[in-house]
Amino acid sequence: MFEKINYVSLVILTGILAFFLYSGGNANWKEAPGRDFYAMAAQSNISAKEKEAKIKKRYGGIEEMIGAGQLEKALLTLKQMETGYKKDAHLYFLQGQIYAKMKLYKESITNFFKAVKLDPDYVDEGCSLYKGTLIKEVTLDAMDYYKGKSDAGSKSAKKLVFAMQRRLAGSCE
Amino acid sequence: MKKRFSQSSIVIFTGALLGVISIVLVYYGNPKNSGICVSCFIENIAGALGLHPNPRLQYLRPELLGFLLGASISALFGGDFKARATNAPLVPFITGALLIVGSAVFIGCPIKLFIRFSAGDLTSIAGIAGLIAGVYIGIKYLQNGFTFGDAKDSPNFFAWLLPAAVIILIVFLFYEPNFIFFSKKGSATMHAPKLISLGAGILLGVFAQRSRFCITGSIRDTILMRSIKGGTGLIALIGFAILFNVIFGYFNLGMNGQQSSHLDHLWSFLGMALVGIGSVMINGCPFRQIIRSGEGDIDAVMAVLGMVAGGAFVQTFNIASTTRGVTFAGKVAIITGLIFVTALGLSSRDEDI
Amino acid sequence: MKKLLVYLIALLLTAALFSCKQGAKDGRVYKIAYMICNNTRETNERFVPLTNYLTEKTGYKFELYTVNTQDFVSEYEKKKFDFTHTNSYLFYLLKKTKGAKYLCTEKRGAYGTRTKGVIFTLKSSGIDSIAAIKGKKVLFGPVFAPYAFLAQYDLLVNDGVDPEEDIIYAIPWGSFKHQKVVYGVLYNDFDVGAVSSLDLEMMAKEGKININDFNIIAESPLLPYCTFGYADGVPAKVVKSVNDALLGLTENDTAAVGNETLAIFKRAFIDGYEVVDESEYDIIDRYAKTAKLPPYEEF
Repeated sequence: MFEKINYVSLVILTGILAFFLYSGGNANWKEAPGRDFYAMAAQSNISAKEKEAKIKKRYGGIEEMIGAGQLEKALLTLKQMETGYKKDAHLYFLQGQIYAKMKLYKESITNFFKAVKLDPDYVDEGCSLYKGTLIKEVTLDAMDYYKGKSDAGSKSAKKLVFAMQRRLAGSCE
Repeated sequence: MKKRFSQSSIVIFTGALLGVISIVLVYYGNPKNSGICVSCFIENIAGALGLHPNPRLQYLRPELLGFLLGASISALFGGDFKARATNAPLVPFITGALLIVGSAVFIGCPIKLFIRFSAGDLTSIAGIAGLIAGVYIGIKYLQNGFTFGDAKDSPNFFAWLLPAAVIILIVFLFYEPNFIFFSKKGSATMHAPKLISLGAGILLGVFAQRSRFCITGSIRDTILMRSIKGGTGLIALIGFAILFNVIFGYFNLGMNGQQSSHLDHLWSFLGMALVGIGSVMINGCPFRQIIRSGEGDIDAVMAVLGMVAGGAFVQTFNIASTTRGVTFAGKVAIITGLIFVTALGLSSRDEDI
Repeated sequence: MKKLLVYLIALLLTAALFSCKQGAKDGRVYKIAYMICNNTRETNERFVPLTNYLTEKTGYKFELYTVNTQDFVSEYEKKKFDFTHTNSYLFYLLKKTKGAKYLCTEKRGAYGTRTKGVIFTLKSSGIDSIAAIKGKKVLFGPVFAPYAFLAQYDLLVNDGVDPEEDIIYAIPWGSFKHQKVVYGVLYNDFDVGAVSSLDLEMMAKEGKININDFNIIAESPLLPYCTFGYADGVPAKVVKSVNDALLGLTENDTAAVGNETLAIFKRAFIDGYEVVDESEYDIIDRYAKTAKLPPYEEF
């Protein structure tokens, strides 16, 4: 009996594995939802000063637009830049900030996650780039916003918000 | 020692000490809920040795080195230091790697599982259920004759290899040579002062060696004895960890906002089930493997080396989960691991050897 | 040996069975009417892979059917198709006047299932508010475009500008009207343009324009993007299969077109599908009223 159960388990597990490998697709192997080592490694080699200078030079104008409330133009400018700076975390951090101001929290948290995936300094208290307080505020606003909503869109947004809450709480990623 | 304290009181004391130290180390700087986490520490050490590309997980965790050194010291003085090995080194090596795979998918070894539970993290319940189920299945394999051979005495020189390597790593820990990687950012930079961590590790290593305390062993004994007497050490661990989490203000009951957690409960269950089965098969949880390796058990040495390899794999191949959930590679690794232990359970039985 | 032979034959038969192409589950052909956005050829190229994917995925037979924007309602009345893929205004019109039903909304660009209408000028024009538009030449998108005409028309009226009296407005002819609006402003033929935020985003990403050359002087609230609907009478199980297939689409999905295997998202210029709250479409009613367009047209 024990042997039979084991053989059946073996067949079932092999079937599940085959299904995973068949349906998985190549992209799934490469991507982890929360981290991009190579981008992280590249970021970790840049000093805080260099990073700040690069951000100021590249995004200074956009940050001014955000400050002046020109959110749509700032967002479109960032979208335009995505083609050239796909792996630049600050591009996504600023989009997260803009979406939060527009009260589009799902989009906001999605972009904060993209930023953190490329450069976890944004949620690392020890770093000069740390923006955890701002992200936390947006996360709390998002929790309020989605509270009691049960449609499919809100449900998936809540998942994302809770994941960010966990990320902010700390993780060995 | 035996005259003054019964074995069961040493087990309870070790469990309690583990619970207390796990929380106190967080107070001194270790990441929250990771005062002691063998799998996380193994990943840190693999990173420090340049075995994986995650720049934020590179540190020679002194606690882990201390466990091994403490166990060796205790075994030497207690007369337990003796090289012994079976003739199937690949079994503990691969299973050791799988213990880290399962732990990485859950995010935490069995010790961290209970530390997370003690901090009010309700997502850990799926892991606890998985670990118990895994241990139960593991027992069934043992009852049906699973073995990978009898341990035989080996030259004592072999017993010294890992403790010697650990002493060298401790030297590296303090001198930080440039060929050892130390993260500049991230969770690996969150650590208690080296001497405190090392001291705590040695202390725990000594008591764990004396008591033979093991998380999965406690569950196994509870199941076999059908009494909580088998799990008194574990109960002490949970009790003291809850107490100290409350005292230090780390207790936070709920599913959301918990450190190092995700909501893929099925995979938490399966990850810990894999750890449970594997641990019973190779006679000890990741923590116990380290202690045994300090005693000169070559199979445990192989398991520890497998764990280091596993620590490198889970990072390099994106097997480790993040707070956003379990990765595709993580799911594939868990299923592959379960296939391996099932096949192992079927093939390596008394009648076949 | 005998056993092995039996096993091989069974294996061959199974393989043959799985390799057979399945016929349509119910023998019917369902037509999906796609609103022609820029021109027929582009619509065909965009949506043939998606249509074939639906056939492959659901087991029902689907065919692509292209329809001009202005003919959509009349062809719907004649029951020429079963599913509709239109902009949100046309869907709302079909729903309100002909009882079409909602399936899901397309995702694309910065706002996913939604986008907004923007009014823009050249940075060098000095026009920085709706009030300053009076007397200027304004280029709109097509009249039935919710985020290139309706939304902006409403913005102007709400800010005290009567498009019929206070400005000189025009709509480009032919295909790619939205891009013509942007170029019309960029090359100074018009002072002000009205397009969707998505059009500006896509043109900027393609390197056709530089956002920094423009000022966005007004923007509408977000409203749903292109929408899948279906006609009354389509069997519920077919509707469910189509909805499941659309919601389950990922960027890795492909479909066979002739001898080629094409990536659906890339071909259709989409990022996926989602179900949104149908009340998000209600704002279009006000837009139609303001612009006096169907179902509130005045002749």
